Amino acid sequence: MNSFHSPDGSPRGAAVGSAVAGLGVVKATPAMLPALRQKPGRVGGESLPTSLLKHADDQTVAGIAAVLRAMDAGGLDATSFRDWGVVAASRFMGRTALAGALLKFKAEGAWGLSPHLIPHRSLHALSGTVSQALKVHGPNFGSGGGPGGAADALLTATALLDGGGLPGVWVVLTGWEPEPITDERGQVITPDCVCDAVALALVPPAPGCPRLSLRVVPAATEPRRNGHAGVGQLSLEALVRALADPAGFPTALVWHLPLGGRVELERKPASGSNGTAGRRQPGPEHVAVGAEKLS
Amino acid sequence: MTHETPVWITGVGAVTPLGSDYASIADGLLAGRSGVRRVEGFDVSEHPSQIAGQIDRVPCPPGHDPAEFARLHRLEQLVLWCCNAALRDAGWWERRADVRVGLVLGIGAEWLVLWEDDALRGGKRVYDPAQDAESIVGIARRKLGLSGPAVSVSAACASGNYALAQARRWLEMGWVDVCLAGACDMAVTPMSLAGFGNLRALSRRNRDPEAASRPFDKGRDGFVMGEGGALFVLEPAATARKRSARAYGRVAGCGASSDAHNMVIPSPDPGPARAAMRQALADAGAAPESVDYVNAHATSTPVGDVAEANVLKGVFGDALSRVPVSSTKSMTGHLLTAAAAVEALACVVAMERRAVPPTINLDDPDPDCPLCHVPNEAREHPVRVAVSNSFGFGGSNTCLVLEKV
Repeated sequence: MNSFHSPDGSPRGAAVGSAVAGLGVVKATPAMLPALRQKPGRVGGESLPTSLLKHADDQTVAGIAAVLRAMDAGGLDATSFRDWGVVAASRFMGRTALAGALLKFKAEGAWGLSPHLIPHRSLHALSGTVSQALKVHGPNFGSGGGPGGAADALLTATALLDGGGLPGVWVVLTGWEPEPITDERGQVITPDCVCDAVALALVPPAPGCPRLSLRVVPAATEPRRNGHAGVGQLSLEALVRALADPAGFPTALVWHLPLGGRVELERKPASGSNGTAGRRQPGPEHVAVGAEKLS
Repeated sequence: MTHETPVWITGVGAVTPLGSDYASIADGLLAGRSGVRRVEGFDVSEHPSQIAGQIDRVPCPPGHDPAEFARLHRLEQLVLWCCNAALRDAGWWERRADVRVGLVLGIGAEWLVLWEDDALRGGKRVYDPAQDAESIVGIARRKLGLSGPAVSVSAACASGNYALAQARRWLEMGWVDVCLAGACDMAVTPMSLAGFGNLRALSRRNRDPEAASRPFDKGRDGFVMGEGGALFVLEPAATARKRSARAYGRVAGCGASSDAHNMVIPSPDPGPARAAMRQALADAGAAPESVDYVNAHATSTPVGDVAEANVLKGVFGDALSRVPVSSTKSMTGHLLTAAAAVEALACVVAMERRAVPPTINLDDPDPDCPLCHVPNEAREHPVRVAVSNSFGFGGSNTCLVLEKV
């Protein structure tokens, strides 16, 4: 019996497809983050309150920016996300904040610890903030949190969407490259670190659906289709590299999942409605909107 | 596979302040025993709250080298013990290589806990990303020899319910043959205790630890932190029947919603939490009046317990006066990321032992929480359908419905 045999004889797991209704990429240097924190942007014609990101981690700030860019790229500004879900994978969130908190704790004891550290620097923080920003009343949770988090998020999000009860799921992936490190005075000493964020608005596949589709193949149960370019193991950086350059975006990209299986991102010819009628079609050309470095 | 093919719980592995095996935990819950005491292991003299439901020692699973196991971080020990025990309990341990066993682990502040623990012992891990090459879920998958996918999920205190829902979905999709699902937390650390204390969320009844966690009682003054975890083995009923496996219950319904209100403060609008409960009951095909027990989220905070009572009133209506409601956090403390999983276990206990665990320290029920309480002593009561609510930071509301098989 091999490792993929089902003891009850049921078929092996099927691939799950979804359409990408909006896609945003942000690369933010530390110098860019304060402005994004103070003025997060607009949703549904209204400015997000400054208080939304007051205590948020930098990764949450970048993640919200990527979501807003995806909305813009996908023409989703007028969409109600009330019944959507949110799955977010921040990577090593809170490292520099915890380093600073450790110094303060050492100097001041329990009294000096911020009550915001745990609520805003744990794995749920990014998805919770996105749900607040977009007024999402469906499920929201974090996934991953460390290396391999992008795969965790895509596996859980596509399973959530495949359940059939949601009109869409936001997937938000964030992380620093390289990881920022502080010295023992709490100052960041890593040169040129950038906070990457990718936001994908996934919707169920439908005829004439958006020109980008994403498929999760859980195990090596299906042969790869012709024309799929392999680009190595799935990671936030791999996604950013591929999606930030629309000119270089091939017809299809395939990434291997760290624990087996793969993720396929495929561009389709333009056609009909994407299920969010009257809005712009998302596609590689719109990736440029989200891919430019913030200044 | 759809919901027509039910998913059963066939194995349990857990460590809580009440014990580290199913029988002792069940006995403790039904005896109304408190696992809360003054915090040991670090100096709490300057902390506003100095009490918690702690675990003395995570047992070493059979087959592990005790010396090597002792060198692992306690959170890693906890995950390995719970997974190992659950697979053994289900009868899959020896055969785990023959099937795709997945893992959905609720774990919320893994890195904060690991970095803090290392730093307080003189390490520099928080300054050295190279030491963070593998997450605990990856380590567990590798050390347990699992061949299915493994992920971590977190919705703070609601994480365990999300893990169970996700695992059931994976089974329905055929992504796995068997799936471990649950949650673990070892958050009773100097900085977590300080952080929650400074949030003014914790009880300061330091002189009387066992009486500090008192959900629904007029004298409640905040929650008491706890640590521990529970993992379940989930598998299709057809598979379980075929191998004559013991069934603890069916994962009958799951519901989830978000407040979209505040990262920490629950929404004053009971609508989203009620929606999660109604979704779970509808998913299970269970009418509110068919529910035999509600394990409430009720953490013992002044605001949260009243808010949940209001949620329950909206969902159950008149039936609420007949449905026993209790909060087992009164005994275990609030296990944070692990709370939902351990409270799902309390529901399993209620179904298996035909008795509802009590809310201890409920001496003077808050009139703003007019529920069918089970104060201080377990109540003999056949439980066929059990409901467990879990809410969390980030505005998460979740509800799990378990059904006796």
